[in-house]
Amino acid sequence: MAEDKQPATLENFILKKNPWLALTMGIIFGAFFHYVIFRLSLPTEPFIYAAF
Amino acid sequence: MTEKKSYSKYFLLGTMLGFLLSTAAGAYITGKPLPLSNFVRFHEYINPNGGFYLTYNQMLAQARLLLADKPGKPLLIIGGDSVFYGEGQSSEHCWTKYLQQELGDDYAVINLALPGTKVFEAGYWVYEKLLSEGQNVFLLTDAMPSTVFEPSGTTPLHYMYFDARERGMLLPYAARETFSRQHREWTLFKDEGHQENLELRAKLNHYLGVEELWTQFTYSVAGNYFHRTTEFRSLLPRRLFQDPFEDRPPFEASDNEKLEHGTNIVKRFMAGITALYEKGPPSEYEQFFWRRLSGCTQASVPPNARNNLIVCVTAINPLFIDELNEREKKEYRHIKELWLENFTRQGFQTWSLNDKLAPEHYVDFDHLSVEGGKAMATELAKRLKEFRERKN
Amino acid sequence: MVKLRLWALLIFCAVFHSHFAGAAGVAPIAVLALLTYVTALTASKFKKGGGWLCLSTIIIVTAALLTYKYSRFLLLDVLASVNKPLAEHFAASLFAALPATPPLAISFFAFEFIHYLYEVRRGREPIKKPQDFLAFAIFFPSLVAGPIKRYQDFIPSLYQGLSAVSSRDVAAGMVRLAAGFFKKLMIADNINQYILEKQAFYFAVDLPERWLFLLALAGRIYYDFSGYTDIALGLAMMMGIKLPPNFNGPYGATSIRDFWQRWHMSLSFWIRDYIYIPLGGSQHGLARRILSGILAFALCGLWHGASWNFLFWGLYHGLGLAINTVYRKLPWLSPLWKLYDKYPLTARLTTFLFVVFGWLPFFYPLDKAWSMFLMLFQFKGVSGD
Repeated sequence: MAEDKQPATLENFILKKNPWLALTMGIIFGAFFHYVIFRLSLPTEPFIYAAF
Repeated sequence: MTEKKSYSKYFLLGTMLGFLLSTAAGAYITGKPLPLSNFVRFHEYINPNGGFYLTYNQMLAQARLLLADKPGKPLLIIGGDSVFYGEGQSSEHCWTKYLQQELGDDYAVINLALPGTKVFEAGYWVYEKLLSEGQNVFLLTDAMPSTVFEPSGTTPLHYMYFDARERGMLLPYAARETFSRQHREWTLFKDEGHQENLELRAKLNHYLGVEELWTQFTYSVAGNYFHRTTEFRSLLPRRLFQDPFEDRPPFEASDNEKLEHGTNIVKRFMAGITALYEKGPPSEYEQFFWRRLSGCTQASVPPNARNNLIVCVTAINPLFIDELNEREKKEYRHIKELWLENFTRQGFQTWSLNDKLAPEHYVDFDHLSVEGGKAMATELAKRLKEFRERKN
Repeated sequence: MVKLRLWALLIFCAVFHSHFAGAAGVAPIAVLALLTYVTALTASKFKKGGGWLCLSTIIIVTAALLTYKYSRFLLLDVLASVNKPLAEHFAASLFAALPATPPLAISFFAFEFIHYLYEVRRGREPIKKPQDFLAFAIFFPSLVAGPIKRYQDFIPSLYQGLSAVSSRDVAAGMVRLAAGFFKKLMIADNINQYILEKQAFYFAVDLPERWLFLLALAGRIYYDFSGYTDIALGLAMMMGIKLPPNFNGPYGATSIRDFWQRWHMSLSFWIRDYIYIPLGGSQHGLARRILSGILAFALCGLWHGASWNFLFWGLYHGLGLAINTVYRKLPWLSPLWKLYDKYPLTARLTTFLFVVFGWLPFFYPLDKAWSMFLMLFQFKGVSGD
C-alpha cells in the first residue's frame, strides 16, 4: 500500500539522526503545539465596517 | 536490514519541554507592554480590525507605562470608538495629542479608543481595573446612537472582555454577568463567538499564556496568518507597520450617496423612539430599544465605577441634520436629549460634545478632520479643567 | 489492560461523536450501526440467505444516506425539473420529518458500513464483539473526515495499539499530527483567507492574478484535506493504530488514473472496490470499462455534495479517466504519448491542469465556473460580474 512519503522522510530525519537533534526538534514541535492552541482559539473576524 | 535506532524518547521529552517553555514564556511576558515606539493609539495593524488580537494585558500595560512615566498625574483614559480614536486624523495629528497639549500637566492622556468599540469596552475595562486599585484615573468615552446599542463584550472586542474577566481584572457585577449571556441574541454584528468558546479561550490564555506569547511574537518576530489588511505582507512582524490612517479632507457636500446613506442612519435610530412620545402605548420594538439602551449602560458599569467616568454624546455632521425636514430635526434634537437624559439618570457624568462644530470639521458622518479634532480637544480641555475644579 | 483501554477509547469516541454531532446526529448512525452489526453476524451464520440479508441492509444504508443527504437535491433539483408539483408534494412532507442538516459524517459512516456488509457477503469473517464493531464505527480520529477504514486492517491494528504503544509510535504520530496542523493552519487557512478576500474581484483583476487564484483553490483543498488526514493519522498513530493514508503527492500524478491513486485514496479505492468492480470493471471489454468508470466517478462526485456541479465534477473526472484509458489506442494521438513518454513533466503538467480546472465546478456553481474558466484565457479583467 502506498504511503504518504512526506511525513516518513520527516519522521526519519527527526527521530533517527542523533539524540540532540531529536530533542531540539521536540522542543520546536512543543512550541508549535502551543502556537496551534493560539491559532485554534483566535476569535472570528470582526467585521465592523460591514455594518455601515 | 537492522532498523536504525530511534531517539523518540528524546523527541517526546523535547515536546513536553517545548510546550512548558512556551507556557513559561507566556507567563513571563504577561503584563509586559508591546514594545511600541512613540505610542499614540493602537492603530489598525495592532488592533483587532487589522487581525491583531491585542490582549487586555497589553492594553493595561500600556496604561501602566504612562502612569510610571508621569507619576503623580491623574491618568485620563480616552475610551470609546472611532470618533475618539481619531479616525479622520493621522497619528501625527491625532486629536488626543492636542488634548494633552491643552491639558498640560493637569492629566496624562492615553488614547485607548478603537474603531468598532462600544461605549464601555477596552479603555473602559482598563479604567475599571486601575480604579479598583485606587489609582487616580478618569475615563472619557464617547457615545452615539449606533454605539450604545451593543452590550459590552460583543465583536470585535468580545474576546478582551472574557480575557479581563477570567483574570479577575473586573469588579464583580452580577448584572453584567447575566447580561453578557444574552448578548448573542441582541448583537448587531452576527458573530460566532459563542460565550463558551470565548470563555475557554480566556482560560487557555490565562493558564497557558497562548495569546500573550504569540501576539508578542506576531508583533516583534513574524506575522503568521493572512489578513486582508496585511495581505502579502502578512508574514512581516507588525512592528514594521505604521498607522495607515491619514489626515482626511472635509466631507464633500456634493457626495449625495454618502449623504443619503448617513441620513438614513439618523432616521433609522429615530424611528425606535419617536412613537414612544406620541401618546400611544410603546410598540414592542420601542420597548426592546429602551431595554437594550438601558442594558448596555447599567449592565456594563458597576455603580461604584461611575464616579470618574464622563460620557460624551458627540454630535454628528450638521450637514446630515440639514437633510432632515423640520419635524425630523425636532425629533432628532429630542432624541439627543433623551440620550443625555438616559446616561445622566444612570449616574454617569454626561456631556453633549461638538455641538458647535461646522461641516468643515467633519470628514464624513461622524468622524472629525484635524481641525475638528483640535476644536474638540480645546472644548474638552476647557470642560475638563472646570470638572477638575468642581471636584476639588 | 487491553479491555480497559478499549472501553476508555470507546467512551471518549462516544462523547466526541455526541458533542460534535448532537443527539439528532447520533441517533440515525446508532440505528444503522446496530443494524449493520446484527446483519453481518446473522448473515455469516446463515450462508444461504446471508447474502440477501447483507444486500438488504446495504440498500437500507444507501437509502438512509440518500434520504438524509440527497432528498433535497433529488426532489427539488432532479424531480422538480420533470414534475414540479409532485416534487413539491413529496418535499413538503419529507422535509418536515428530516433534520435541518444531515447527521455528521453520514457519508463516511454509510461507506464504511457498506464496505463491511459487502465483505461479509463475500465470505469474510464478521466482527464478533460489539465493542470492536463500535470502535470501528466511531473511531474518533477518522470520524469527521475519514480516511475511510477497512475493517480487516483496522481491527488487528486496533488490538496491536491497545496492547502496546511504543514511544516510536507516539513520537511518529506527534510528528504527523504537527505536520497536519501545519498544513491546515499555516497553509490552508491562510490560502483560504486569500481566496475569501479575492473571489469577489476575480473578474476584475488581470490574467496572472486569476491564475494565482486558481492555484490557490488547488492549494487550499489539498493542504486542508491532507492536513486533516495527517491529523487523523497522527492521532491514531499516537495510540499505536494505523489508518490508511489518503494522499501521496497527488499533484505530481502523471495521469488521471495515477491521480486517483494518490488523491483521497481511501475514497478512490472504495469506489473502485464497491462500485467500479461490481459494475464490471475492466473485465468486460472497453465500452463497459469506460461506462463503469464514468458512472463510478459520477457517484464519487455526488458523494462530495448533493448538487449539479458536484455531479459535473465527477463526470469530468470520469471523462478524464476514459480518455486516459483509450488515448494510447488512438494512433493519431501518438505524438502526444511520445511526448509524455519522452518528457514525463508534460504528462504531469497536463494532469495538473486538468485537475486544477476541475476545481472550478467543484467550488462554484456551473455557470460561474464556466465564466471563471473562460476568463483564464482573457488578458484584461472586466468591470462588474
